[in-house]
Amino acid sequence: MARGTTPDATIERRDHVTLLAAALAGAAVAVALGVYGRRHDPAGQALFTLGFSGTINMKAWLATGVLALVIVQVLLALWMYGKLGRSAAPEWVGPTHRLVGTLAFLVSLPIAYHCLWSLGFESHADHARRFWHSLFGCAFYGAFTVKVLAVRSRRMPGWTLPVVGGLMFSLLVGLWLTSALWFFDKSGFPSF
Amino acid sequence: MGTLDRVVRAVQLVAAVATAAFVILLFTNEPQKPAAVPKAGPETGQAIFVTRCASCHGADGGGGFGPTLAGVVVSRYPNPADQEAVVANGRGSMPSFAGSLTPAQITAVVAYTRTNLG
Repeated sequence: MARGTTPDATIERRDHVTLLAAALAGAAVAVALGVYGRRHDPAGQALFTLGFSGTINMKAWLATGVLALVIVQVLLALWMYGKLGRSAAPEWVGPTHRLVGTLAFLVSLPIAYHCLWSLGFESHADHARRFWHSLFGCAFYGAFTVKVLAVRSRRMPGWTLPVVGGLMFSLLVGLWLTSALWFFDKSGFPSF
Repeated sequence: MGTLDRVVRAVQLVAAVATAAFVILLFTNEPQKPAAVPKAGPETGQAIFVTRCASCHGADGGGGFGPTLAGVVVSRYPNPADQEAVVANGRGSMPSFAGSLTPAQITAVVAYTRTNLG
């Protein structure tokens, strides 16, 4: 403990340093994905379509599934934080929250892979939809990294998890609006 | 540890393995480069389709990364000029081919899709 500081101040400073380290790790992941997408020669090919008529159809539906799972996850988080109803959340809510979040991440991986490997990072702001989608995608996995580290660490400010979780949800909504909604609007619904 | 916790641990393990596979595939899965496009000849449309389109739309036009062409392309684009414009200018995730194919080659490949796939 430094001279002239209280234990609380020391703990608070330690928590902020841990949060900064997690934020830097998240930024590194986001930048690494962006650099890969920018430098890699887009394959323009598909690894699989999971029975959909095209990869873009598969991606739109998987993204919609991810969004649905994350909405459930946010509701479970609100329950855990006592924002839904007056009674305390049952014990199963916490593990279910983690399970749904992990499943959402798993479902997102084929989408991210085909975006990065097949299409790359759109760096021209003239293509606004693709540009913002690329930014949101990289930022999403950066925020995900911070959230995973925050969950594993007890040395972060208490507001970290809800703030990062809210950021992830906002980024995911942005991703869905700039991809799946655009696709359904252009190609019609359901466009399997 | 409850059953639900064990399920969560198992799914998290799967997610970790999937993430590792994701990163490895990003760097090891090299795309196949398309062959050169022939300049002229009666097989031009088919050859262009095979080298430039089939990787996304499927070898038989049945779809893949891009949407299905077989059986729907004529009804979707009654006017061939509209389909040629899509090939030339791109649309959505589909890139523009105006820089890599001549107008005659675009016409040839569009004709091929409409005659042999549409």
